Amino acid sequence: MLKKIFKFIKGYVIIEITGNNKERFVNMCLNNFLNIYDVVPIEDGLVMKTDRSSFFSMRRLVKKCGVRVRIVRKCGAMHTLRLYHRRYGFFAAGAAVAMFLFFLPQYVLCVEIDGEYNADESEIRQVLREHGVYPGARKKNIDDLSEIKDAIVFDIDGINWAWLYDEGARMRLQIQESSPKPKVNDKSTPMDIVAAHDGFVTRADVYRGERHVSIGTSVAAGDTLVSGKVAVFPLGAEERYMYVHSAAKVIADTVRTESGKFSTTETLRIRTGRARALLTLSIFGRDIDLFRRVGYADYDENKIRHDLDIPVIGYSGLSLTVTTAREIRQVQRELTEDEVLARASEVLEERICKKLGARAVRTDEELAFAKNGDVYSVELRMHLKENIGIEVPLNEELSG
Amino acid sequence: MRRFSEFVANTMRVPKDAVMDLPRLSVCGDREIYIENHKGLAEYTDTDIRVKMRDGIMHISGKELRIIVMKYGSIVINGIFGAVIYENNGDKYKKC
Repeated sequence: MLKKIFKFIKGYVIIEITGNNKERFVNMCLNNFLNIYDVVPIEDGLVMKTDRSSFFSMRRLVKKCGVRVRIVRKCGAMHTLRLYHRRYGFFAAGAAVAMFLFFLPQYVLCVEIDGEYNADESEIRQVLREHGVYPGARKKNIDDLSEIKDAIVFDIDGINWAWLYDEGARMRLQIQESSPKPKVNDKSTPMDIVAAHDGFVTRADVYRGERHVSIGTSVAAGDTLVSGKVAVFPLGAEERYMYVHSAAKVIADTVRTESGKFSTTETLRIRTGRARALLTLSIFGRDIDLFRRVGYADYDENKIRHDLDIPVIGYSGLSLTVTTAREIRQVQRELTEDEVLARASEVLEERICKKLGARAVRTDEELAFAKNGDVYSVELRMHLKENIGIEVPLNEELSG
Repeated sequence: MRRFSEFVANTMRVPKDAVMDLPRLSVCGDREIYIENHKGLAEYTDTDIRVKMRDGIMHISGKELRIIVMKYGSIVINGIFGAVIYENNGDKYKKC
């Protein structure tokens, strides 16, 4: 490989030898220590490569052997330089590109914020700008990355981690927001336990607090099941109460109902098979659409972004986004009654399950429906066995 | 002279290619031949290569024959060989 590179730098000539004494010519070249290689026979002669200096020494041998020499191609860096040595514009453009590539990594040409966040983007960009990170800024003037990270984490609420990545002409800020802590009631705070839903109590295990519920009774939503205000006085004595954080497990049979209207038709989105690739050029963060219109009334789109990364330098500031638009045809399909009810059941079950607490057990379910034209009114009744007790702050009046 | 040099080579146990200026061949299967002490090319085509030697011509026939290295004293031929024949002054054929 190294030899090939040197050959290319020095330059070489591919020549075609024709005539009767071509073998003699080759022998004479070897005897005169001329450098010839890659000798390949062709129909009526030989094709070979020789370096520039050997080529000029061949004239004498050519006359002696009486062969004809034709230059097939001149190759190599020297030859290319000779070919282009008067094209000043070409060299000027090359120099300009080299300068551009040299200065490119010294400037920030676009700033991207990456990660899931609810914080105001303009606020984040303002903090970055204060620390010298904005499109067009010199990297030399950017503050220390740790400082920027601290500023973002401390100045903007909700963000618990951030880091700025230098990717050539792009600065990418990766941020992560802290998820809110679950609300946990302090165990020292007096709490009642009330019914979250109507139900028939089948089991009540009270661990702390005064029991207000008994097994085999029906309770309504909001009824106090266990009170945090516990009486600690004998009959006839002065009233004294102890306030505790109630704890209990109250299992009840409950019924949850959900209803909705469902159409007998469904819309299918079918691909027609026609697709177009739409190109968007992004230059230093500005998008330029390279297409006029999609041309489809309805379509799905899939975007793939290609960044031009230059080795060592990194992101060059140029990106090409290829959006594949696939044409869609909408088709209405009639559903059978079974299909409508299956879908309704699925949707309603999902709605109920989202409202349930942990460890609820389904014991039975009933689906009732009525057809009105093209619409089904469906009601789902789900029978459950669940813990209906929820903690609420102690209410003195109700507990008393 | 030749007989004398052969006698010297035999008695003194000296390689004959060095004393008698004979060609030395290294054949690698039917794919590559390395020839030393040749005296030049006599014919070069895709199917036949004739290499001059001191006492005659070595004829290599085959398919897709290519001279990959060619120097003053040595030559390397690549291809699929069918036969390597010594043509000694046209009166005698030795096939190897």
